Amino acid sequence: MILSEPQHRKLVKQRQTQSVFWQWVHRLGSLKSAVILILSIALACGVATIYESKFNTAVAQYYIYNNPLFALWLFFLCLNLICSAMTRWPWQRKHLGFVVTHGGIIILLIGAVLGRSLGWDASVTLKKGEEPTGLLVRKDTILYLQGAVSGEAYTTPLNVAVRVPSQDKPRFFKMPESELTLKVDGFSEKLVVVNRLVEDQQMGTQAGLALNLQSNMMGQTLTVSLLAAPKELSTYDLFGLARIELVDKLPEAAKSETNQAKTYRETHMVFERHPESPVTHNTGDKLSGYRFFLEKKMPEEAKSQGEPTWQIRARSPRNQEKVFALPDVVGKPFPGEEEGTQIQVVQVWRDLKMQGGKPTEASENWNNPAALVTLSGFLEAESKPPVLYLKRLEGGRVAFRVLRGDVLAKEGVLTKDTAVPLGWADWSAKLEASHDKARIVGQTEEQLGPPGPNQQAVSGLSVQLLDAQQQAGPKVWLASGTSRLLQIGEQTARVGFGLKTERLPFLISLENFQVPRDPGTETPANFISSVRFHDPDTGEKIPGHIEMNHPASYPGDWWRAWTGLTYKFSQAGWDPKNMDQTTLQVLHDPGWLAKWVGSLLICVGITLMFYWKEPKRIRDNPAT
Amino acid sequence: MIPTKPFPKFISCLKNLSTTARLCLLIPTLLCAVQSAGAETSPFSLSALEDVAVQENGRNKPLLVLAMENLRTIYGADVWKDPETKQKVPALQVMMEMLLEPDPWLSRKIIRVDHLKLKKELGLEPSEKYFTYRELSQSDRLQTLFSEVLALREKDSRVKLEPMLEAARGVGAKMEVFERMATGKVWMVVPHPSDPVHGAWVTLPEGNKYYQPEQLSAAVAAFREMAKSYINRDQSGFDRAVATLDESLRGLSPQGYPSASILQLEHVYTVMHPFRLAWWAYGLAVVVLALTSLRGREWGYRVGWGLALLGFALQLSGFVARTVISGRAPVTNMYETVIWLGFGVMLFGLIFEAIYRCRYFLLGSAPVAVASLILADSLPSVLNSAIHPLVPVLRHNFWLTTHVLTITSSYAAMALALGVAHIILGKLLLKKEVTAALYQYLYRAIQIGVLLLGVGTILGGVWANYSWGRFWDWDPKETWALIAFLCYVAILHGRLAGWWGGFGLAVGAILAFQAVVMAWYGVNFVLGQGLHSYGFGAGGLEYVLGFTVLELIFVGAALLSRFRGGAVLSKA
Repeated sequence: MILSEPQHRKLVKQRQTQSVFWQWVHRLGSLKSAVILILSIALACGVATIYESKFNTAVAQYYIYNNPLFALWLFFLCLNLICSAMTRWPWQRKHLGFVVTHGGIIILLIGAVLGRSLGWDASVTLKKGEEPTGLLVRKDTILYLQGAVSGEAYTTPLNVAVRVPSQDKPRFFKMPESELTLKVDGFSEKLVVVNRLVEDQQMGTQAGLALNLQSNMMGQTLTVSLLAAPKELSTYDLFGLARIELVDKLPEAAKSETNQAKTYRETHMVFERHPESPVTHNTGDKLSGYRFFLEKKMPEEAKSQGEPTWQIRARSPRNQEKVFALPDVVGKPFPGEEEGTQIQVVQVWRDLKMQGGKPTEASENWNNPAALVTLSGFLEAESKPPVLYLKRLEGGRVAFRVLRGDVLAKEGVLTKDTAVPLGWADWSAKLEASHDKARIVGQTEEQLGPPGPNQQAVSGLSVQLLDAQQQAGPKVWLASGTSRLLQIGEQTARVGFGLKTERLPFLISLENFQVPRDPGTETPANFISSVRFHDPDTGEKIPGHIEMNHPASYPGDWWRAWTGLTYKFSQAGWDPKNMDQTTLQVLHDPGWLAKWVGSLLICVGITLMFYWKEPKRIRDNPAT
Repeated sequence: MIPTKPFPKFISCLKNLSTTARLCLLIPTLLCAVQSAGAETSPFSLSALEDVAVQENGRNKPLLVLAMENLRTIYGADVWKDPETKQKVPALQVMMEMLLEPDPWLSRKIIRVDHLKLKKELGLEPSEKYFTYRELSQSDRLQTLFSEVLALREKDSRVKLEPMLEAARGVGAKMEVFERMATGKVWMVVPHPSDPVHGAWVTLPEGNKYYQPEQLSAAVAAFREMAKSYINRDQSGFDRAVATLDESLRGLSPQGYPSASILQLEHVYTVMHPFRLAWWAYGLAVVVLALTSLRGREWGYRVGWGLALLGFALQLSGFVARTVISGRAPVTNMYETVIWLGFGVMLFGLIFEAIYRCRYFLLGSAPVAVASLILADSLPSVLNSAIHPLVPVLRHNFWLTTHVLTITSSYAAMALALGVAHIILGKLLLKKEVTAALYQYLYRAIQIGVLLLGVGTILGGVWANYSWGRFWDWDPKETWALIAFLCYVAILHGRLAGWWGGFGLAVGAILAFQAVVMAWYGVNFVLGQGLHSYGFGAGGLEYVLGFTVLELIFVGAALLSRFRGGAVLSKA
């Protein structure tokens, strides 16, 4: 039905006065509510981006984008779009662009709802040579709580990125099918498994001891637990810097003089005029790292008068500087920072000139001053990593002996009272425990310093059980990706923590991963993963190829690709240190078709609205 | 006392830098004769050397361009000015002298440090702009800052650094370029033997990685000869040596070696500054059009048109050259989008002007184009004009052209609307009459912008669905594009409802453009969050804030004057 403009207006006006339904349609579809909705959504989004910049993405997503209020707002927008389209009913040709655009937005939003409720995006890290997997992880973290009766796993969201549980702000979860409550009152990203020595008269078979190693320089405190046997448990490798061994008998050091650590000699020819380019030579393979600077120092007062004095500035490999007046040190050796390092200024030339390949003095004026400095010390390459041998003594004490090669570096007795320096870097040791019958158990603990050898820091929660009387059980750390049995009195409950998972209806494995680089640089030019999809029904193995901007879809039928009823794999991440591994983003989005169609309609609709004019013929002669 | 080993020759003052790539080793005996820069002012021309091909950051280019880009990076200009002798040393000469005798350059003020707090932190003179490599390299505090940056980056390569660390990182990058120049590592002139386009090039001393010594001997000899004649100021000998060098390098791997014409094109593009010439032309057009608006309309209009077209042709040729050189659409970083904005605004302005013939479109678009091009021309530290390879996700010409071009063109249309809105409000402030047609022009410009912004944002979603595996995830860049779109949509709806007319549209066009600025600049330079991290940068905030404040004052003044006049918003 094509109406003339006045007819249409009259009809609209008429139904508005006659019907409550139409009144509401017009109210909800009014321009006023549209502008309010549009501006408030824009404002909320603006606030969200600032939130995101200030805190993190998870916070912005949780408080705004994924907030039910925001969804409600979008719902109102949808309602407004529908109603405003209805207010123009019966649609005339001139409404074409308007209707198409508004319809497009509605379809797009429907697509978003479909994608949200039925779809997901997750990621998977594939390693070359590993078994095919169908297990994906999502971004959000959840708690797994095991039902006390059925033993079924219940899950509940716990997004630590949004709100970090802490002592002051603990979170409580009711354990399913029981009276117990789970209290979560801490989150840490520095959890490690520490081997602890436990005295055990029944099960323990070996004698053992535990040491506390400390280094202020490295900001590290480590617990080392050793048993008398087997070998793996009686030795401990400290980052390859040193070894610790529990033995029955301390080994003897060699006595002969020839076994002393070897030394190096180093010469530095330093120039006042070219401080950055000394000529250096070392008898070993590499330089000690010491630097020397020959400098002029003007007297404090009366800068124009007075003779300048000359000084040598020595900078150690650790960037410690010392200044010496030249006359004080020429020909007189002085010690360096490291043990056994000797430094000497051998000779000074006031006006250096090379003559026949030999340095000579051209004049007595300080025109081109230079100095020759020699340095000697223990050669690092020659010094073997130290070994700390420990032997349990009567009365809970422990004798120790540190050997480098077979040269004795240090020996003594360790007690629980004082920390004894061990002579390598600034490590010191203190006895923690010594038992005749002991076991070693791995415990998840928070480590404030950097992780020790063979430890990898993971994140996790501090958890404990509360019973109906609010009695608290022991507090333990629950590492991410693990579950453990918690206890309170006689009651137990199993809880787990980790990323939410998703399962593919098929399996995927990595065949190859390549990162081509820009010529002459390390800059990646692309990321290429060759994968294989394993169909569980047919047993087929279908190859897939994923690179930047070229995702792979499986199952790959065209209609699935268009409707989003497929799984799409895009390149998402990589580890420069491990080139056999790739991280893929997996998208399952049944709302894709609606998003696609809606988007297209919006574009077409806006174009029609702005640039499509009703043919003149119709505008002038509307049929009645 | 004589050391056990004989002294090496006194050639290197940069021992602390790596010596592996030092080309100076080729010419040890000549160095004593090198004149320090600026000591002598003989008119020696390095032009023969300008078009020799070299590789940097994975891209092949002429030496001149490399020298200019490097000097722009570390010094911020194409010519180094000696603060003592006031002499100007062109980029290529700087590069040449740094190769032959790096020592004096260590103590020349050539590294630009702008960040005031950083300068204070390092104990540098805050009023100074340029510093020597030596004083920077000796600053222990700077080294500590570097290690902090490294530690942060190791944890998360996309981490947003706090301003001080970001500034330190910038200084570190400049020092690195300086080191590459001083050690001769930038002279990667030896082509990859089988694939000069994609393979890695090396320096002459490293040439044995690819070639037998006898294959390289001609090039090495020519290089020595070149250096010798440069030192002796032997112009003809220099030109001959460079010709031999060029020929012998090209002869090493002729298949795929950059052609003389493409090198020439990049040379001309870099030297000619087509974008600078363009804004001169646009600027003149504005002056002529504005001055002749009142009297002598017709000839002034024609001259204005001519100048605008000339500027447009220059800018277009610049774009074509840049596209040919880089092999991609020129909209991949802040510099390119700022230039593109100037281009787009003129394109729309010219089209509308051709249709409506009202001179308002030219008057509205040309000043915006001039402003954007001046901006791109004068802030090399924020807007880097060098052509660099792209991050992998951008290496897709279809999406790059469709999504990014559409979005940036929408910004351009909005900028045109901004220009026209300024004319309207300016006229009102001056109590001049504004015709209904002028309001209509503003509406037309906003229409284009809304359409392109909508389409561009949706295209972004489709691309994101391909490369990142989701259509829409409230990434800040996406979100701000949406916010800008919603702002303009709200303005159009308000007009439809009759709440405001042309005046409101003009005010809205200026206010909503601030959302475009946020989406365009703010997300990358202020928020610094999200997946569009390849475009992130730092600096320029004071200019942008200044712009926004000025705009707000302008709008405020217009509103005040209008409501004093007793008018209401809804009347156009």
